[in-house]
Amino acid sequence: MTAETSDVDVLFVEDNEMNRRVVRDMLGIAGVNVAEAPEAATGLRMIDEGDYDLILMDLRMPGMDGLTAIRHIRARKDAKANLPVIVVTADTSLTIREDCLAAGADEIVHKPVAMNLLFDAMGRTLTLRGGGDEGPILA
Amino acid sequence: MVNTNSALMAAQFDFANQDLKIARLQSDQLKKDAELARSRNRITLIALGGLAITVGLLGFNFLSLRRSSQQTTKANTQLSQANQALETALKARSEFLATTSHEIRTPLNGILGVTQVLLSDPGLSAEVRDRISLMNGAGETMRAMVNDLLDMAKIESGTLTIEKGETDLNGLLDDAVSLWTDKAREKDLDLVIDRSGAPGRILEDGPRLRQIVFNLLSNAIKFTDAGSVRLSVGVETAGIGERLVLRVTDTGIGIPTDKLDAIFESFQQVDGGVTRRFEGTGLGLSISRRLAEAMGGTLGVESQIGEGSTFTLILPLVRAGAAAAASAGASGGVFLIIEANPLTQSVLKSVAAPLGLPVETTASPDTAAEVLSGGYITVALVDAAALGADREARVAAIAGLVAAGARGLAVTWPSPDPEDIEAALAAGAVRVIAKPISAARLTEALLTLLPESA
Repeated sequence: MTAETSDVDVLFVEDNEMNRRVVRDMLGIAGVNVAEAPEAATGLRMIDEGDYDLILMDLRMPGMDGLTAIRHIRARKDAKANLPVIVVTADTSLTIREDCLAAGADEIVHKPVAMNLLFDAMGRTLTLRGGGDEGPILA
Repeated sequence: MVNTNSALMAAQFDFANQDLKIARLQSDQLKKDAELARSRNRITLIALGGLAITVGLLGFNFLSLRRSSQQTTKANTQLSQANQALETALKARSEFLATTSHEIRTPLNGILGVTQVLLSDPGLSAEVRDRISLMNGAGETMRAMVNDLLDMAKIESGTLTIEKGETDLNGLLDDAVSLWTDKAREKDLDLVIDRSGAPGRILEDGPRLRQIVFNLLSNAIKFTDAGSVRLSVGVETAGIGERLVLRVTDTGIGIPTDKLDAIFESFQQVDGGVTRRFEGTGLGLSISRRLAEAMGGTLGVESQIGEGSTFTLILPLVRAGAAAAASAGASGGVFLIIEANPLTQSVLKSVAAPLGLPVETTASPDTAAEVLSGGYITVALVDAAALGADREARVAAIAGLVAAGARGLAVTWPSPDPEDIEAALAAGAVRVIAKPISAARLTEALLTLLPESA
């Protein structure tokens, strides 16, 4: 575990316990801090109260769905509106990629999750979106 | 006075005879008239009869025309109903395929998620690693099948899209080599890749092209027990334009002549029996052919039972930007990232992207030695923390990497002293980059390491 990743705080919004466990374990390998929310409303509240570097968002959840939640994030008036968001979904419909990007997501990772693809997406998003113009600080 | 009476009687008899004659003549005349009238009637009757028959025939034709036109309309209606039913059935099948593939993804996420996490643990015993690899492999096969089903659903519902973009054909062939060399070796087969005629960067749907090539290689290796599998890539001129011609030739079991078309149909396998030797959904070739056609090309096969098969993929060739080709050729070489943490690796990949070099990654300085011995690494990046705990260990590790072949070695160092920097450079590092540093500054620093173009 290098210093930089243990400073990364990720919020994972997903209703299925098994899927949460899988991603939690994967992120554990990278040494990042993982917080979890079982549905979108809780996730939005946690974003309000906390300070995350990256959001992983499932799409199909009871209550508010993932795309609506992403729109809420992007509609914020503060800096958190620019939070990096990666969609993690089993949905493979034709327009899913466009729909996610249109709602404001940065990337999409398909289930079943290929660990290397998840990390690729996270690295890209953190570098491109995180930390302002200079990008994230590598400690 | 008999005479007068007889004369009178004779005259009366004559008169009567005359009357009779006249009457007979009149009756003859009447007969003739009647005859004439009768024959006129006959003609009229015949004419009328003929007319009646004609009218009858016309009427009959009219009726049967109407009946057959009704039958045609009925047949058309039935045909369009059948078409409708067929379309509905196909749509239902597509939706079923899409839904099934979606439903299977979730439990598959559980299986593959856990196996990947387990496999990333370097402390596994060889035996346990083998078993988990087997499980992971089976899960990956299921993933491939699920993706195939989804592709088939997209193809059948007409929603498959081809997206052409700049594609690194050489990179694709490199991946093919690295993925299939091991599998070929397991079966003791020669894997030969002849890319002498291959164009560098082309405008094509890279992921779909990769899908076809990998499907062909997978089949070739699967159905070949001894000998070789050869992938050759070349360019042919055809009229105005150029064609990309890709051939996969194997020395395998071959395909019976009567099955040469059937193998491209969905769910068809040469050996469809219960005790199939070869696994798979039977979708691979049918998807590959449909993809090839959607990309504007063709996929065909020639085969000889017992000798082998050759699959030929022909696609229209559009070479990608000359400028891109020039810059890739000029810098040359490969950027090596030495980093164990997969997330940090990914961040560094993004940081290195602006250099325009292909990037390879390796977990540690130990595993880096093998890569460096290839001699094609132009720039390498490693963090001091991964080299050792103190300056001595780190400097030794740097020397080791340089000895293994690292030119252009850059070392990121958390809060270095001037002595740290001096020692590192003396050991052969080309640059020492102080941390903490932002991603943008790191990219800048790395750009200065690029060799000048010759």
